[in-house]
Amino acid sequence: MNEKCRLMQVIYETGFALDDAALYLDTHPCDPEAIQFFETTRNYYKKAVEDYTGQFGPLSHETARFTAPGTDGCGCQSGNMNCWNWVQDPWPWEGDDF
Amino acid sequence: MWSYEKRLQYPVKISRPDPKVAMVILTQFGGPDGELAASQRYLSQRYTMPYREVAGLLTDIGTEELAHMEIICAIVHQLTRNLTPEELVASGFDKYYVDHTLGLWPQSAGGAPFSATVFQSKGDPITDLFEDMAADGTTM
Repeated sequence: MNEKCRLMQVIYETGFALDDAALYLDTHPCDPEAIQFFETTRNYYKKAVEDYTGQFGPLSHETARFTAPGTDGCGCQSGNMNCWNWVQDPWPWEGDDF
Repeated sequence: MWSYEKRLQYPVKISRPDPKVAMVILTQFGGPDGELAASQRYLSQRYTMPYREVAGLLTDIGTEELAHMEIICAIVHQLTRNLTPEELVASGFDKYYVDHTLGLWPQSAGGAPFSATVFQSKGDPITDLFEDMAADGTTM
């Protein structure tokens, strides 16, 4: 498994755990064990998202970058301003990457 | 508001197309117990939910249902890629294809268009929660 897949797998697993833990916390907002679990898992999630988006492309508008023309599969002509890399990688439903 | 995360909630990677199976799975997108109905059920009911915790739950579950809808659509999309005309006809997917080609359109497996009549939003917490349990039993 390459680094890209490994990081995405961490994001899938921790992201899924956070979704479920949030539902539990909605109706048990004072459960110390659940709070601890959520905080710990969220730290892993945030670190994996940071590492992934730093190397392999954005997962949100917040992590999108403006990259040089011709990089990241962008079709912009050189001489253009840097271009929006949000649309360069495959979309999640294409099933190509992960 | 909502923002988009560029990943599926659970990965979908299908290498062998199967339009016959796609036609069945399509109902989980736009059929009577599909993810579109589920998301709109929770997200419509939350405004009149008097308990903050439950309004939060309806918001978060409704949001998660949108992610489920994306998973289902990804499955149908990947099951219907690269089809030959012969495969279209042999699988029975031709009846869908004639109206939508390979576009995703919310309908049941039997061809009934998505309808808001498959869920309720009554403004009464007990009524709405019973409706949720009937429709989506295990999550509430």
